[in-house]
Amino acid sequence: MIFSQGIRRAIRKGDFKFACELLKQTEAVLQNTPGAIFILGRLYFRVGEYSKALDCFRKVESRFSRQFRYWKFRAKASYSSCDYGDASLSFKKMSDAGSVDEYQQACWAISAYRCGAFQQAFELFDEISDYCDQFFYLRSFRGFADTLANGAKFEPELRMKWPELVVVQGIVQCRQKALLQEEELLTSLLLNSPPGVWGRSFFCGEGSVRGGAPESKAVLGELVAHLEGSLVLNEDWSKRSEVFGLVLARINFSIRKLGQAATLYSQLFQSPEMNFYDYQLAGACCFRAGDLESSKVIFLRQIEWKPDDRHAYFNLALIYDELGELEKALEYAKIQLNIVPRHAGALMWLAEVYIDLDLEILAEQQLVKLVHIKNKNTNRFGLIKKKFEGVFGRPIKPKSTPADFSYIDWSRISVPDEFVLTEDLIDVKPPRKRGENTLKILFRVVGALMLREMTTRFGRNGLGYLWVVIQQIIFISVFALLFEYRGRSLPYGVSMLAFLITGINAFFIFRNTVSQVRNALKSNISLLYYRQVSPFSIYMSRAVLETLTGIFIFGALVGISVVSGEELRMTSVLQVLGILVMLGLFGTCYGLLMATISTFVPSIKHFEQAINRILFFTSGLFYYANELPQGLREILLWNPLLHLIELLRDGFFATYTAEYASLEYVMWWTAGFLFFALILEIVGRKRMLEA
Amino acid sequence: MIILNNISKRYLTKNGERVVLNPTSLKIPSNEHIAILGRNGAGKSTLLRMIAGVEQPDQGKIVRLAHLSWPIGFGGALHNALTGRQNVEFTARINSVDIEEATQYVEDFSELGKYLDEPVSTYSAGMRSRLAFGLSLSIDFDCYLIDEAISTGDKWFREKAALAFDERRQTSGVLFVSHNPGTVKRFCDKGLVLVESRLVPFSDLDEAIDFYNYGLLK
Repeated sequence: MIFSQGIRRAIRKGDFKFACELLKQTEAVLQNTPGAIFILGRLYFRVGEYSKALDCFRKVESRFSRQFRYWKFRAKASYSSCDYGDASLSFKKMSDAGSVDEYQQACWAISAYRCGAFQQAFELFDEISDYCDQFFYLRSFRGFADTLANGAKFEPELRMKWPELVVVQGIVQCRQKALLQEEELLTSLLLNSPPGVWGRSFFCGEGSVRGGAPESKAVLGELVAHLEGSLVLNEDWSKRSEVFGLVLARINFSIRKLGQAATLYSQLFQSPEMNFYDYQLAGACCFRAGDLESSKVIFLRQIEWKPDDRHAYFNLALIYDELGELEKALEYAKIQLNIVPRHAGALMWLAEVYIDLDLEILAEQQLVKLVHIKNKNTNRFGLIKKKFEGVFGRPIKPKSTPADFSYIDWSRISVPDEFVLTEDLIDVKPPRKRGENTLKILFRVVGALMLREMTTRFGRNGLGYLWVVIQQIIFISVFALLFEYRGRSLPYGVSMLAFLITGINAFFIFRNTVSQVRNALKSNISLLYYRQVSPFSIYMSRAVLETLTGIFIFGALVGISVVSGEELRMTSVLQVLGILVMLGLFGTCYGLLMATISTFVPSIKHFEQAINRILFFTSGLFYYANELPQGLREILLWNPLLHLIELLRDGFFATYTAEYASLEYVMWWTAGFLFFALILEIVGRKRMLEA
Repeated sequence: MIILNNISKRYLTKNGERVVLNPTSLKIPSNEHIAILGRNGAGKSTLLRMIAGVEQPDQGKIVRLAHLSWPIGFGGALHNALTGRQNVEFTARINSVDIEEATQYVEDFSELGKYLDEPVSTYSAGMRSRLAFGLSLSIDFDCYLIDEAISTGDKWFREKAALAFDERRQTSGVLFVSHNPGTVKRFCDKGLVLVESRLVPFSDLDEAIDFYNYGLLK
């Protein structure tokens, strides 16, 4: 077959219309050459002239009838031109000649359905049920076919989801009762419209009526006129399809013929065909038509049937409100809000009722909730808000401010059972773990704290200790050299080094405990987060650690002196140790006092520094008390540190006797410091912890 | 169980006395997941510290019939001068827990790597909360007292922490302090609301949130 250049070019360019025109003029077509006609048909199909294409295909059926390709094109053309009988046949041939895919089978099934071959349609759908499930319209068709072929009845939920099925079911029931007139009317409506349009137009129409589209209202009005023509009201329903009546009622509701809808529903509301959507419409119709009693009965039946219905309770509340039974109305409104806490209508109604009842807080609660809800009916909300402001003379709280608790009646709040402190629990003591007592815990905590202090003060490997020892050696050496240079001679045959160690290093024990204890809490405040750690344990750990460190360094220095050839012989080791501990204790109590005072008077630390300087020179670090002139000695003996250092030297040197020192005197001072520190601690604890 | 026996608390400020809590008697179950809601500065953290025993109430007595954690917050219990590891060791020591086990747990959980041997003062806020959270989970408490700690750290750590915490929640109770109703919903199912120096308990968290947000009472 030879096409002209023009036709080829047109096809190549995709201008099928032009190609069509050219092909029609060719001799081959005019002589009805099958190949040319077939191609012409395909071109017609491409440009959307399906019936012309189908005509072409029909002409060449005898030539190509065994070709799969031919039936494929013919089926497409006939399906597209709504010749479903031909399409059904073509799909069948196509399936015989080769195979059909899912889409084609779906088209086939729809064609069969349109021709009235419901059983075949259902079987075809059934073969591709997975595919059908993906598309709503295929599911619907399958449902139609199933109903029409097998009289299948659909579950209420399913009917709700696919509203068209209600109509189909009505037809089936009519057929069973041989009410042919109605059946014909509905069937013709259904079949003479494009796929699914009848049912869809009804329900879309309902939507658009509510949305205010005038033409859909007209369509539905026409429909209802048709239906009413064949349906006489008040007749015996046992002979009629109840579903059919329900459809009519729905349509009547949609076009706002509420009275008629109410009549239909009041006749039908005992029907088992009613689903919850019908109940809702029925109740609403009766309510609006003024038939409160029927409406009440319908809604009560609805909540019996579906106790968690999302609207019925509020409707009941409104009905009881109209009936003047406000208490029942309030009860139902509250149930409604339990099911749908953000039901705007119910909240607004409640707010209004509460305002009328002069219940300010309750009304505000509803209104505050409403502020947080996306509410369509802002007009009404605004009016209620104004009413509230008018009645109570104040605006409701806007969203951004926190709740106002000032008007809450605290006595009204009930404590849930699990939080109530019962009498028998008041005197309960916490159980003690076996082997755990307060002292044991204290020792464990103090131990842990001391380890923690050591890591920061002396480092993990103890190198810090060496550094402290070296520091003190240098300190002593400087003073030793200074004294040597000035030609200081020491009485009692004591070596310079030993004299300075018992003076300066002993003083350091005091000084270091003071500064450590003073800052103990400040540098460990975060550890107070552990319940086991108390301020006392923190003070104690620092005091013990510092005293032990001081004694260790003292011992180390004495040891070093001995090794380096000094002749040192302690007369009373016990006395020396005791006095060293006493130095630590005295320092601790003094430090405690300073710490507690500084919570009240932070500037005390300047004063304390000055005292420190004075103490450095008045505590007998560089002289014996025995050497001093009497007047000066009596003044300096006020200083308890001088006593301690005298006693230390008394214990250290065989040749020296501290004639003026008294341990008792120092103990009084220590006790005094401790006493005042404790009092201040108790007074100032709260303040200290807050800081 | 935590027994609050007629406790009250007030602070002295420059502007006079501020009441944190009016005398309150309550029993708080320690095996449940309870949120403490309140606005900033309402005294939630103070309340939690009192329950933990860090602070003492002005009057009344708190009896703890359960092993409670310390208030887990933004590293409140961490010592700045110590390294992460030393902090773990200290905590393990005072709680008499095996030190090695605890360290191992924190090492795995916090993913701090070599930072664990750096002083806590060099940590970022996220790292601190990792350490604090890992530290608290390394010890088995009957009830965890949490001060808005879970919402810190990066996304991955948050998820991990929430998971670990969910797992621990199966066996332990939680007292979760927050001003944000959204976060507590994830972890709690009961609520205490601290408003106007009053502690109002609710056995349903939603009710507590409604009360806290809008002052609504059922």
